[in-house]
Amino acid sequence: MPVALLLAGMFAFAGCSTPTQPAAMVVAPQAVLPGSSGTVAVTVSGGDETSATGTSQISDEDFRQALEQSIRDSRVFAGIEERSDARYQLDAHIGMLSQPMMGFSMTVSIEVNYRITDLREGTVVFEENIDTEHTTSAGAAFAAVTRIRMATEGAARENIAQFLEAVSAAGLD
Amino acid sequence: MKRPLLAFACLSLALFGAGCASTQSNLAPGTDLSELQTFYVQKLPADNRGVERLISDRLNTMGKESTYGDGENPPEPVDAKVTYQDRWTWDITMYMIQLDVQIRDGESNRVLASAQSRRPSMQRRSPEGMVEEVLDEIFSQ
Repeated sequence: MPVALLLAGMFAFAGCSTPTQPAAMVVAPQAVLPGSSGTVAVTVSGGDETSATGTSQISDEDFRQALEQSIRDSRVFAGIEERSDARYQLDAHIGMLSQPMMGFSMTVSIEVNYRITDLREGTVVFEENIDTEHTTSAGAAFAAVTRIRMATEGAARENIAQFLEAVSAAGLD
Repeated sequence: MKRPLLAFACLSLALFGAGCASTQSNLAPGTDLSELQTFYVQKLPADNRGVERLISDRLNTMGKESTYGDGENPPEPVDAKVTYQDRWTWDITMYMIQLDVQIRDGESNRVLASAQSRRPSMQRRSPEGMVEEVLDEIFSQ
């Protein structure tokens, strides 16, 4: 009986992985950054869907939503539009997402390549690989899968923040 | 006395033996991996098991030209750099539970393709088998 209770309790508290949430990856609005007067279309690749038995992953759609909202809030571009109407095309490719398999404090790192093409000229005007990490402490949540999700969201949020600063500094028209 | 031991055994099995083998891979849009012929495998500083050599050897077996080394940059220009992260755990013996490999553009360092293999204890493979599985996954995209 104790064994059964132990196992039941462990599985009840362990829980299943849930996908990262776009809202948790949005960069908190700060001072408006200097930006481009052009609009941008955004595509994201390299993400994965979350399975219940795996760890929290970042889907292309969720990262795109977080990236677009962060761009709107920071105003580094004049707005988000479809490619046919936009001045720039931003392609973000999630190249690597490194998550721990176990532990108390969880550190997740993510590498994203951001490439911006000027659609008028057809030339790449910005390209940068941005590698960030975020640690969630053991006290942040009881379940490990939750701590990994929070660390994943934090790493993605920091990555987007660094991209916004980099693209603002690039001084696009 | 027996019950705590039994509980510990069950807990260990659930923690370390659970799960299924899985592979996943990604390819950056517009990437044609068949164009890549020369590779450089960058040794992970924490790796003292020679996984970089296993990856390089497998690439050579696949008909590519590959070298490996400690430096971040290859001694000569290559089409692609290879980085990896190997994770090991103990269950009776140490074994590789997960291997991640990234194929990067030789100039920009952008990740062109990546794959991961994760195998719990009951489905473990040799390091050579893990390398073969991950590289096959990448180049079959």
